[in-house]
Amino acid sequence: MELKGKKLIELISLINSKQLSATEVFNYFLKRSNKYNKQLNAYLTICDNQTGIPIAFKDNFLTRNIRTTAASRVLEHYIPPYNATVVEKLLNKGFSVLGKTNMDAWAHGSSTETSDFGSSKNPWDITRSPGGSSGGASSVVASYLCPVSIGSETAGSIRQPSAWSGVVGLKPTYGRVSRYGVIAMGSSLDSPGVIALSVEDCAYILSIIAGKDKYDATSLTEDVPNYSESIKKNKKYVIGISEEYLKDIEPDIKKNYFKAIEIFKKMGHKIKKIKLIDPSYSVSVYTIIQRAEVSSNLSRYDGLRFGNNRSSFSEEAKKRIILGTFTLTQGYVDEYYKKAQKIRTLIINNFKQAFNNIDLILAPTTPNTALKLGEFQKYSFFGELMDRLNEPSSIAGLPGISIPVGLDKTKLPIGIQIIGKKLDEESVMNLAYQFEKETNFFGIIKELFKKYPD
Amino acid sequence: MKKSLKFDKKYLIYLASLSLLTLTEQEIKSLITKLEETVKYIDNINAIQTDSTSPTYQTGDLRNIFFKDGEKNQRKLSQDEVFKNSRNKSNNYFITKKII
Repeated sequence: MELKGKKLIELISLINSKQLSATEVFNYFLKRSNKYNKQLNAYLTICDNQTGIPIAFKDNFLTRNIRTTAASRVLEHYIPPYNATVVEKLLNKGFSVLGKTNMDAWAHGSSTETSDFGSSKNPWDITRSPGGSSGGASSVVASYLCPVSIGSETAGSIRQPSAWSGVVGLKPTYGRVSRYGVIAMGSSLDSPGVIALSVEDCAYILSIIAGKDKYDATSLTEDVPNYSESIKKNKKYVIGISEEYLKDIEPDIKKNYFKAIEIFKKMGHKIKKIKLIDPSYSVSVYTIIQRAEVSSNLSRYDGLRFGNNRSSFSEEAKKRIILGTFTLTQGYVDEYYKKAQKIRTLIINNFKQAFNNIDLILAPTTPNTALKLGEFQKYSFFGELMDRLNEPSSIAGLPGISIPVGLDKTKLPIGIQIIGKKLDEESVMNLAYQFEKETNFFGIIKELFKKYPD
Repeated sequence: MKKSLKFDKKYLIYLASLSLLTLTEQEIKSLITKLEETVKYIDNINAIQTDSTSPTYQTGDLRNIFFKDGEKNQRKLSQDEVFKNSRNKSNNYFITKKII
């Protein structure tokens, strides 16, 4: 049976109807992963001899007895004694870990170039970055080395690599999915999420991983809807668009974004102009809050109980820790850290106000398509600039999804994002699902699969 | 009100020492430029008036989350599991440098 290109839910349906065993599916993807990983460097660890439905985890999710490094030399040999809650929930549903995916070290970056184990490559053009920090996770899905992967987003780290790799990336509401056992970066921002080939696959996985976890005090208590069912209700939405998100955006991205707006209109949705705070302020707020939280979170890596000592941190982590220490230093804490938290309140209120008149927001996911590897070194804070269209909604803790909307003139994928109200993943995915049904995402991913035969 | 800020070598080494980090000469050179550029950018927050705004430290709006009394921790680790990744240990103790 031809498996290539089948979505996760199609594979599961074949397993459930006994046309295939989960082991056969696992071995199919294992073979592909072993074949192409040298070229893409998308996995840091590949696991064999498993019998469940294959799934890949970004290497900042703790996996019991499977090496977990966060792509840093500090944790080069670390073997976790327990599973992250997300991992545990998926294993209980019949999944097996196919691999641990490459990422920016500690999730610090937007290109995987800060990984201590070499960057991942973009399957569309291996001289380019797949995006980051969940770049390995987007790369394995785009090249069909795994049907689905779990990533994490602090601000952009799921949506941006999904856009650059031409796949679907869902960042849930902060607190919707447990952070227990996820190596912390910015604790008030980190959100585990899904990278997949279709919106339905994202809905299926979110239904499993979402929900209150008593081991994560910040996880939200609201009931988890059946996302797989709710996305199929054909609802009409009022969609907000904001001029502020179109500054310094590549022309091809703008063109495809406007093309998508026309498609949504034709489908019967209403488009409404809204005013949002300029994302350049969110870049600053995010940089300050995230650095402060990084400085605090990475203080636990002292090499005493596990891992190597602090001399194993690379320059990017040192830079972030030091800036975080600076913004938390007496004399600067009010001026930077507290001020940033106050502007965060304004950003949240700005979204709340906008959502009084609209259901969802539509914007480009990224200002540019995939950059050449090596570009990040030219910037003092590359990640924050690449993720500037994701940072406002992440700071506010809102859910968002990036979906493919065609290719630019150099044949690189373009993504647009749908942002929703807090805990309204249902509408976010509902609209994305309607767009997928209408356009099949312009068939771009099938084109890419041709480059990676079995 | 606004303090002038210079990330010179001395200040950078001081911040690194607070962070328990050591820096190479090359890192010092690179970080001074990068940190100065970053701080210059993030100073744009001063354009926003926040005098009457309260800070938001977390977006979850949750308060006082505790384990229920008597609830069992089903995910606690055995001593063997806890010490599995430690290189410096003795009879179920972690060995550290002298602290006091």
